[in-house]
Formats: sequence, structure tokens, C-alpha cells
Amino acid sequence: MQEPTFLILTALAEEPSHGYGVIRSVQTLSQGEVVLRPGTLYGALDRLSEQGLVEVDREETVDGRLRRYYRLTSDGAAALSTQVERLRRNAAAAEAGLRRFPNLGVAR
Amino acid sequence: MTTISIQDERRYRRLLFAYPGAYRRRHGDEILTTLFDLADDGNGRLTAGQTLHLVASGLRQRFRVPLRPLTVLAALLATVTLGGFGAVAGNWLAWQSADRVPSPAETSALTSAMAGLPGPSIEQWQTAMNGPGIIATTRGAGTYDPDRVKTALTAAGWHITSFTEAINKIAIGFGTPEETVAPERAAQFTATKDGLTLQGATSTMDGGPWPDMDGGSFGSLDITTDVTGAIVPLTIAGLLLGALTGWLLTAAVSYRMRTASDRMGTASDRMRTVSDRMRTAGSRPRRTAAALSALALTATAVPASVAYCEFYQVMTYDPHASNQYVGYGPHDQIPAYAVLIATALAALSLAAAIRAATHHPEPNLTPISS
Repeated sequence: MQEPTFLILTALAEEPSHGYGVIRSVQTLSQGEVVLRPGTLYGALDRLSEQGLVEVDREETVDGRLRRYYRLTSDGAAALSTQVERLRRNAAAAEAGLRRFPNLGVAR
Repeated sequence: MTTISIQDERRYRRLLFAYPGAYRRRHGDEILTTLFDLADDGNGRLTAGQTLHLVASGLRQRFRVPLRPLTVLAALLATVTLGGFGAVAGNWLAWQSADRVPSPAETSALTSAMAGLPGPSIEQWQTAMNGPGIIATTRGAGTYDPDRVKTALTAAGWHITSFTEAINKIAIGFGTPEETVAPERAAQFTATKDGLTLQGATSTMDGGPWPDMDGGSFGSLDITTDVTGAIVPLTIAGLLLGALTGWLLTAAVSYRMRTASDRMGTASDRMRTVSDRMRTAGSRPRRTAAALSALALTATAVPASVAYCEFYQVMTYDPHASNQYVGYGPHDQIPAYAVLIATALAALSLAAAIRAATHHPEPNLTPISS
């Protein structure tokens, strides 16, 4: 799972959100490191709904603008959780290895 | 929220045309909202980078097929098949712009004038590269006259490029006690006119053991259209264009199949009571469509293999070879009616597959709870 996908699923895990909301959440979650462009976001949403990891939650029309909200499915939650486990394991391994470099001051 | 001008809105809508139609109808409005939000966020406009990236993403969406083995296989087969058809179409188109060989009547008149003999038999044919050709042959009692040949060709606008005369010894009654040799006067020649090449021969018996043998004459002309510089490039362009169409078509059809079953899914979510019925109704057309697609792709194997044999012959054709005519391939063994039937079957089953995949009866959504 690539980082943008991981972050999109994470954003939707918090609450159902529309396109712009996801872009903002991902930016906040990644502390400004990942800024999704609309093309990437909708490409990812298409792929994720095809895989059944996200689905349409509801639609709202505000000021004549359509907002479609997406939510995480239970499959999506499971996929995200698997990825969290994997990242945690890898991070732990990296951390263990880095103990040989005490000067780095890895956050505990 | 009100900082977006009408012009900008039009511009953003135009950008969305990079996306395939079905996708745009489904997601266009929400993407537009997101673009407005982003523009509001910035200085009221999208950056050039955001704009370019959106167009690139839209084009990429056109190529996207669901990552299911059968769909990817179908996309590959459609790409290969339509590539073959495209090559044949490109080849045909290229020959349309090349010069035509003379009509049977013109060829007949020229052969008669050249050989001094009446009524040749005419056969129209195609080179291994599918270029047009016409052959005329005639026999009868006549005279040998190289000047008559040259005059006839020149009068018809031909430029003679070679003319070789010879006296041949013809064996008569070979292997019998009466075996003898009789002389024959013969000429072989080539000529060009516009984009055409002519190869011809004429010969007349000079004497002979029997009275009716003297003066026995033969004449033949074979006219072909020269290979133009457009034939190979247009054939390759046709292949690429056909292949591209095959992939894009599969992507478009599979997207429609997917969204059609998604719609069924959404409907059943709203209508718990009929959800089971919806699901069966949703999967049955899908299976039908898959089976029909498989049939279509199997049937296209026949015309596609013929198309690729043609493509191979076009690519390996040597216009300078002494024998430029015959190129036998396995496709010569496949009768034309089999190709026609298979093509028709493929087209029908494909049309039925697309119909089954995209035309679902709209479920009757009367909410029970309200």
C-alpha cells in the first residue's frame, strides 16, 4: 500500500469525508508532507471503491456544488489495520537496529 | 466560495473532458467542487501544475482497467485483435491513395496492340503486400515485331526501361523419334508509368516441323502498382491505433460493467428487503456478459490470425525481389467464409455482451419504510 493510499484510508477512518476534506486531512496527517492533487485523489478513490475498501457515504449539495462523501468499508478498515501492523513491525525493527547509534536520539 | 468566475468554471469543466465520458458523468460534479475548493484555498485559481496533473490523470483514467485477471486478459486480447484489424485497415487505406492499375479494357487493348493478337484473357490479382496487379495473356497466329511492341507501349504512355531480345531453341516432340528443335524469336521488357510497373513478354515461332507451328505467337503483360512510401508506415500506424482502441474500449466497457453492478449494489443497500433479489439480478448479467465476451474473443481469433499473417507479409515484403508476387501463409488455408462467419459471430456476441453489461432493468425503488 502506497503512502497516499494509506493516508486516504486513515483520513476516512476518522470520519466520512468529501474530496477536499480528504485532501486537507491527508495534508494535516502527514504534517504537510503529502499534498494530494485532485487527479491523484480521484484516481485513488476510484481504485479503492473498485476494491471495495471505500464506498459512497452520502451526497450533499451546498450552494449548487455537489459534495460526495466517502466512508471506509469494513474491508477497508481491515486492509488499513493490516498495513498498520506491517508498518509498526517494520518501524520496530528499524528502531531496534538504530539502538546501535545512540547519538541519533530516536524518539521512544 | 464566490471567488470563482464563470470563465474559470467553464475552464475547469473543459479540463474534465480529459476523463472518459462515463466516469465524468459519475464524478465530474464532485471533482469540480473539489477544484473550486482548492481554487478558493489558493488565489482563486488552480496552479498550472494542478491543471496539467488533472488532465494527465483524466487521460490515465481512460486506460485504467480493473485489476482482475479476466478483465486484463480481455483487454490484452482486444488490444492484439483490434491491432491486427487496424493494420489491415491501415494497409487498405494506404493502397487507396496509390495509383490504380489500368482497367481490364485498357490492359486488354494494350496487350492486343503490343502482341498483334486479339482478345487476351485478363486476371486481376494482389501482391503479397495487397497491392493491385493485373495480368493479360494471349496466344494466336501472329508475327514477331519488336517495334510494334515499343510503339504500343509508348503510345499508351509507358516509358520502356529494359528491352531484351533473344532467339530461343524450342524442343518439339521431346523424347519421340520426331524430336527436333525449332527457333523462336522472343522479347522480354519492362516499363514504368506514374506509380506503375509493367513486365511483359512476347514470342513467335520462326518455322517449325509443322506448317501451323510457324507464326505461333504468345504475349503477356503484368502490371502492378509500385509500393509507395505510405504503405508500411500506415500499416504500422493502423496496428498501433487499433491496439490503442482495443485497450481503451475494454477499459470503457469494463468501467460501465463495474458501475452498473455498483448501482445495483447501492440500490440493494437502500432497499434491504429486496437486496438478495438485487444481487442475483446484478451478477447474472455480469456472468452473461463475461461469457459473451469470451465467445467474442474466441471468434475473433480466426480473423485476427489472418490479419497478423497479412501484417507479417506486408512487413517482410521486398519490392526489389525478382519474385514479388507470391507469399503463402497459413491464412491462405482459411477459407474466406470462415473468416466472415467468425467476424460476424464476434461482432454479434460482443454487442450482446456490452448490452448485457450496461443495460440493467432499473429496480423499482419504492421505499417501504416511508
